[in-house]
Amino acid sequence: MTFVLLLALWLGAFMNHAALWPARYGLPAPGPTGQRLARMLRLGLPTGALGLAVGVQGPVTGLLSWFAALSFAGLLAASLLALRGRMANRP
Amino acid sequence: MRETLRTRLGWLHGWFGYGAGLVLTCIFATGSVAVFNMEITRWMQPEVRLSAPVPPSPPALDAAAHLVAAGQARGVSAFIALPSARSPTLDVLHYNGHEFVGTRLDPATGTVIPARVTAGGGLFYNFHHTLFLGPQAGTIIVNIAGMILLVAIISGVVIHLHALVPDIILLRLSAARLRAWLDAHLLMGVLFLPFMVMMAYTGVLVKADMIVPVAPRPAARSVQVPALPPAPIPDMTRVQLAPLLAQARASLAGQEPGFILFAPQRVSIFAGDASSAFLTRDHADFSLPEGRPLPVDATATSIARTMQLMHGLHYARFAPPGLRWLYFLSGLCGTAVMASGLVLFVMKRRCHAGHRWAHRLADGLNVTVIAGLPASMLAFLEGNRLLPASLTGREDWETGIFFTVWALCASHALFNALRVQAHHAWRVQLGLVGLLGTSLPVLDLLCSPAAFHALPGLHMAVDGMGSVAAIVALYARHRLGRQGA
Amino acid sequence: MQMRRINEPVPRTRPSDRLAHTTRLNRNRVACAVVACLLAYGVARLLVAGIAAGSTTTDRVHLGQMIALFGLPVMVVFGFGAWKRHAGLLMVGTCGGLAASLILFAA
Repeated sequence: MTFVLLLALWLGAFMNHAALWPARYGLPAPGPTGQRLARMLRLGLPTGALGLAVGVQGPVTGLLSWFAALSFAGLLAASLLALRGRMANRP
Repeated sequence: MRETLRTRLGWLHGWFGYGAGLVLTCIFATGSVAVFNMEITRWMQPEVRLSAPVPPSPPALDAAAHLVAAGQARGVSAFIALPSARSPTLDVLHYNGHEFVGTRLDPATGTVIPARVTAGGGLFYNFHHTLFLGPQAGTIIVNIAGMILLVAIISGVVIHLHALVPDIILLRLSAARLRAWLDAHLLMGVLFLPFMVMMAYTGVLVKADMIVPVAPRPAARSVQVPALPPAPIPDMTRVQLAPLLAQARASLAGQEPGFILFAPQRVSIFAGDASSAFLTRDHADFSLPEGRPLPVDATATSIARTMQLMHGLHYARFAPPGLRWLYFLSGLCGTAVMASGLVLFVMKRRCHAGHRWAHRLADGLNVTVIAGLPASMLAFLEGNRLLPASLTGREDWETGIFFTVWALCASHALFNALRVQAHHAWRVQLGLVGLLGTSLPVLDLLCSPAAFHALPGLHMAVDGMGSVAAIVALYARHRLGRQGA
Repeated sequence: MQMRRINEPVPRTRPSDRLAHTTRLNRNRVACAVVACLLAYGVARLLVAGIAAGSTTTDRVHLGQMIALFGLPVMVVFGFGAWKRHAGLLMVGTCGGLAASLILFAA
């Protein structure tokens, strides 16, 4: 359950990251407030996830889970964005 | 062409990565599977149907001690592995030069379980850290490959540094083939960078004495110790292990005993590797044959603790099932990074070097490693079910099947690739993986239905992984067919 | 059409020149990679010996191995990557000198 939460938090962070690079990921550009919010969330969500992982699972297992969540959430985010791009390109 | 840092490190990344990548892909693939080495051994011994571990009874421990004594009388140095969550039997094991093999006992009654002899998951474990080339030469080769992996990672990071963070989740499926492969390589390479660095560094460090040994001290060289006559082995059948185990459990402070080792003058009860992330190998010693507790120095400095953590992180024996799956999946993604790197290396050079025999050889080697290895791994598992349970030298037959199938795949791939038909080799071998993977659950159900009913989770996990491998291989084959050579 | 920097020399286009240049470049790279690997490995061995020198416990050996194995790939990349006037190789060699001095001090 903790890992699912970590995954969700990292996924959120990656989506905010994508929002901050709209040209690269083919997303609409956010406004200044949206940018500030996205920047805060990109930093805050992984930090929260780290606190959660270490708090619940201890330092060693927690750190391992945190890094694993980074990797798998990144893959998930990349797949979602790639699929979205493919759908958008479809005539 | 102007020489820049990027072009120079690109050359280093490409050539070092390809040279070592062929070996590293095999090391990573077998290492990922070896995360579940004990579970695979249980799958390969369907006669063992115990599901949950029970504490070993005094008669069972006595029976195990009898087996150890019988082994020592034959000159075989055996030890006792206590039941654990991953292996619920009481095992009397010895090292046969490649893996730990031996007799399995029911921990409640002490009766010998007539399990088939198998190479088990130990084959993957052994291949992962020695390539089956022996503990000396094999480990050195694996360590050098691990070091080259670190060189490739550092050079890869420097090349990609400018886009490392912005492109961290960039994947362009609709781009050209080469670009899409490069994106996939970069995506997984960056995301699994922490895992790959951790495994490569800890892996090299656990066998550091092989690669950067410290020179022998002068004092140690000058003192000539005369060879002592072998100490007489006490009669271990008179030693009561159950009370010693209870004492050891009390003195190991929260750690569950895992192994019982015997020396001429003492018996040592070691904490199990699952006790903590630090592979401490804490132990309680008792004199033989009286069973009197012996003093043990359990203090560890911070450097010793760091080394214990490095060992623990690499072996992952402390990991609960969830984390073990993450190790396994991360290992597979690391394998995919290397495999995609191998494919990219050949693809990038196809235009200007495709006619050369060296390029065709590289293509054939890629097929051997990426498609041939999974095929031989699946054939090894199927061989376990097809070979007669009472066959003499069964574990050697199983190992033989693994290497024979792989050698056949290599011959087929190289033969086709050198005739400029690598595409055909890819299709055939991916089809073979698909066939072997889909037939694994069927064969398991037909050959050992009772074991499937007794341990459905274990059997579904192993069979399921075979099926997933088959689906991935068949999908890749389908894509290959659509896109052409 | 690609823009070219004004300080960049006009590239030679004769195929034979280009081939000779590539061959020379590759030969230089292979030699440099071999030297960087051998030098870095020697320095790593010296580091272990230097850090472990004068100590009777295995702790210093382990510390030396941790540092040496961390530094070894970095030294290979640096020794190979910083090729101008062989700056990388010289720097790795200097590290080796420092490691050797550790052994001398401990003796």
